[in-house]
Amino acid sequence: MEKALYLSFEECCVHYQVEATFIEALEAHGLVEAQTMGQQKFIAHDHLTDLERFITMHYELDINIEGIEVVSRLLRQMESMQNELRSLRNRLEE
Amino acid sequence: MDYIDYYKILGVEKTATPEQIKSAYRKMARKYHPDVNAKDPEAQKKFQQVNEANEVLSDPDKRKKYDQYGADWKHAEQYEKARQQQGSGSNPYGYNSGEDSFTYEDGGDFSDFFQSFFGGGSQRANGRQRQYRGQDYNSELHINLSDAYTTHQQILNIGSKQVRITIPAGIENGQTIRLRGYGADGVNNGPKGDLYLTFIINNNTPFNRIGDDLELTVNMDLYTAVLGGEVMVETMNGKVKLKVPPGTQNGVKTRLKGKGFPVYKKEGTFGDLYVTYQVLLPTHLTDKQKELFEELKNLSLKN
Repeated sequence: MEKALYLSFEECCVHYQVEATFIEALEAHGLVEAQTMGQQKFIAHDHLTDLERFITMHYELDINIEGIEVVSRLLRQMESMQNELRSLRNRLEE
Repeated sequence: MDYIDYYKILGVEKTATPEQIKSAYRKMARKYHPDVNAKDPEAQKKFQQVNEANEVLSDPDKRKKYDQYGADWKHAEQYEKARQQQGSGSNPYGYNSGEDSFTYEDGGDFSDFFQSFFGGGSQRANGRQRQYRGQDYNSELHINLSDAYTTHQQILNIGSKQVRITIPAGIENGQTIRLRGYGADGVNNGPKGDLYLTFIINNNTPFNRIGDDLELTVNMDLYTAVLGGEVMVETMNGKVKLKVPPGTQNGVKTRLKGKGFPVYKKEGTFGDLYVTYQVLLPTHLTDKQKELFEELKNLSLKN
């Protein structure tokens, strides 16, 4: 595991000023994927976009973990529907 | 430039308490924040307004200034300058408060109204530190359909840098690709943000693109349609000669397998090209031609 491409839970807490329990709860709900190395857990840089979005939802929009779970699922569904809509629209417009 | 009623945007009274403003803002933010809306430009716009309103009304100094000058805001700067020259100014409108600071992906545009009132957009120093990974950028790239046919490289100007990117063949109109690490620099050694590039494809070809397939209408004279023969048909990679069987009807479609558009990220796989024949009837007949058509007609009627 290349250290540079991962951020430990601890570092996340420092950089984003959030509680460790929040990140652990995200992991427990399957919202962020963590890698374990020794005693520490890490988040891949690739998943930081998601993490940042969850932090906004929780700390700025007052949405709890369960709410984040639902919102994320609906957003994913919307995204795939938007892609489908785009393809269909392209067919119609040609 | 029009006066902006920030109270109206947040839906609060002019006498609203900071708590009421905060609560109204959060309610609006839950509705319009880009993080809970999937690529919705309307929501993005609304959120910018809401964010700006909050920026002003949640900051006691800014709110005071805004209230003080009200609709007379155009003169605000002049008053301010005059006041400062009298020796009473100590930068009363610095950006130094607020717990909630949104950062949004396009770098956060504030309205002209805001800028003329308060100067540039705010960079709050002591709000919640949200920045580690750099900001993402969004951009559009216009390309021709003929260019989307092949995987090719293109040089983009991102900020002051020139970046060479690879555009995979078969990209679709409106499709967005993520270019990792081409966003803004991270903070505290954080990784760079990403660049989201949305492709707008201009069709500069005679073909209609339908998914991975292409459509083309080919004109054919009556004689070839009746007697059979050959037609030259244009494809994305050169002309091909097609055999036309005798008695080909107007509007008949023929499929050229693998002559369509490349399938995105499936190298070597192509859609099909559908050719529709359009039979052109002869006009402006000479007397001789007319005579021969009459003859044909009589022969056909007899049969």
